[in-house]
Amino acid sequence: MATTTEIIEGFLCPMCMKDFGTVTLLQHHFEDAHTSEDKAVFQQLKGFFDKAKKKIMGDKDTNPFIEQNSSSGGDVTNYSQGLSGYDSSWWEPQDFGASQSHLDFFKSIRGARVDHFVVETNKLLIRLDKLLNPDAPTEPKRRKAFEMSVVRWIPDREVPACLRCARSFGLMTRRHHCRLCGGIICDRCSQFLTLSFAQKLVNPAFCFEGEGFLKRSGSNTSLNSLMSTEGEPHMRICADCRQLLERRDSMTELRNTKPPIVQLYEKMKMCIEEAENILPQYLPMVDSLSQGEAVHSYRDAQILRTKLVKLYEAIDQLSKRILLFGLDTDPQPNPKQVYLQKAIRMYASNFMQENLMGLQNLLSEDEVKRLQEVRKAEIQRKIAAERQAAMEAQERERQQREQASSAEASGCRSEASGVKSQGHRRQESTASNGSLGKGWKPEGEIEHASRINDPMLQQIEIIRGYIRQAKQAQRMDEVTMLEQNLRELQLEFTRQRQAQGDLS
Amino acid sequence: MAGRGGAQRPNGATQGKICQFKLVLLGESAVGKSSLVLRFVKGQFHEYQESTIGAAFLTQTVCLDDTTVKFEIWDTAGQERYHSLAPMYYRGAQAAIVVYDITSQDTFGRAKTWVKELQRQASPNIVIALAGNKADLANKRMVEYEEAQAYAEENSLLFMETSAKTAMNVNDIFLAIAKKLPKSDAGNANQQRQQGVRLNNEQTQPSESGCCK
Repeated sequence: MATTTEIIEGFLCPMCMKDFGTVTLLQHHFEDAHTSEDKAVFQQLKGFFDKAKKKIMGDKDTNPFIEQNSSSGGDVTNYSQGLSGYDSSWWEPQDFGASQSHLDFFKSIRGARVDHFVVETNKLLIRLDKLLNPDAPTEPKRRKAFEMSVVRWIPDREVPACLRCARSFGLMTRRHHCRLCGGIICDRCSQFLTLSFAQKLVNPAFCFEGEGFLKRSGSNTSLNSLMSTEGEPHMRICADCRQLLERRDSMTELRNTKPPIVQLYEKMKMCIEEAENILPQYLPMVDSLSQGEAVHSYRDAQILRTKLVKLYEAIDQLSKRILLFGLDTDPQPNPKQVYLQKAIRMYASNFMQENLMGLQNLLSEDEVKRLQEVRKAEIQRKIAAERQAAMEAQERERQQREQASSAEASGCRSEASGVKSQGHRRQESTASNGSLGKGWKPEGEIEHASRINDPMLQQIEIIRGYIRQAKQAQRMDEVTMLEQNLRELQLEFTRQRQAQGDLS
Repeated sequence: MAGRGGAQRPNGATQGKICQFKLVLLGESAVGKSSLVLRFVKGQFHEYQESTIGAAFLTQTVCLDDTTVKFEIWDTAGQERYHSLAPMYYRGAQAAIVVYDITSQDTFGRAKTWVKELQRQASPNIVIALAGNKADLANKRMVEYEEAQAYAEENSLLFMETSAKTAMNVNDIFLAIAKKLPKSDAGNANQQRQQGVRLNNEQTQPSESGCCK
């Protein structure tokens, strides 16, 4: 006990636990050896207090804000250098610790806010609909009464300053009411909503072109908002309501129109789907043709092939267009979009690589005919051979019957062969050590793969061949393993491609 | 009827547990990785084994006392250009066999670097075995048994000299690995790690009892 909790006393440095004898020595040591990390923070704090002191003392010669910014900026960079001085590779990778999902909490907050905005916007739209009523009075005084009946206008005396920018009202700054929420704002915070845009908001089927909001005109004659100076009827609303309305508008726009890149993508997707529909018809057709069967006609296969080739061309074109989309415009699209475009192109080219293999080897018509003849001849030969075999078997049986009736030596011989087979069996079981099951190995499919240059692609191709073989051999365990490996490979491959793309 | 079927092997499904392990073979090219696996899985040996492209996949089951161990074997290509593939295969592997050729000191050196790489990059409790292959060519030996044995002991590796040609020690090294592998929940042991603790688990409801109900 005593040895472990030995108490050390003195002018100890808190970092290196050395004793320095005197206060000053310790202070010097500490400042020299350990404050480099904390210096930045310290100086920043010190600088801040200095500036504050100067300001309080009324020293107006130096602009405290600028200087403080510049000095703290320098300190911050120093500080971050100090931070980045350690290398993350020194540390072991950490396991995940405790985690907690805040999604539900986030969702509840977000849900409440979304609900609030939806309700508010709907209220505005209902009022807007009422205001747009064609039977509503247009004569100024009655119009005002009508507008006030739609939403309660806040009484002028309750609001001494603009609700948005807090400018106080007076002779120069007049009060204006938002026709949608009834709030009071100054002329700077008010906007003019054109009635045609309002129509569109209320009824999305309404065809609308032009500006939604008028530029705030210099003259403030807005008492009668229906009579516009620029000729277009409009009404005054506050900037907050404008924001809500615009948001709603952009949402409906987004729902109704697709950006061109999405249209391209959908076209490409359609082509891929069609190709996927055709492929299962086409591939067996090619297989059977190359085996010389005459179930499918050569013409059909050719038609399907041309269709596929056209689809592939279309997919290729479309994916290229998607890849290059927006790259030539001046504000470059953000990296996420570029990434997405690359991923789409990758998907398309993967699809083509995966399925183009079958397209390359459609035989010529003559060859198919030749194969068909060969097969026909073979079948005939087989039939003949089977007949022959049957005949021979009958013959043998007849002979055996004859032998059995006469001899007993044949019994001895069969016994001997039985012993031999048993011995053989025993040998086999000892060789396998008694503990091995039946192993499985796909046969190498190298002809395809060796043509490809990239080892990763090559391996993907090999694994595909293995999966085919495992499926044929009904080894479902192996199929799942191999498929998992294939996925890993594909992931890795895309990652590599990505890295290469980033480099170039 | 009598001659059919050969020896009836015990069916793995009826006996106790079935464990599945991923095993990867690493080593310089032409040391005999593929031959070793081929001998283990099929009992065959080809004098002129073609060089592996990418990585080959084989499976073999081994019956230990009451457990059936299924090896999912990835036989990687030794050639330099395929080295980028190797990490994909040893990453999730529970076992590895690093093979060298006893008639070449270079391959032993390469084997050491593979062991080092595995110790650094592969999963921490991977079982590594060192196999000095081509033991039938002992008259051309360049790597002494004791040297390799000492290295293996230093790094706590399983070690055997094998010969795919004569089948010497081939099954034994795989069996030794199977014995050394942890058998409890083996198949998905590596997935259960890395999960962390979920704090807001729905199942943990507050108990009904309490003093101020």
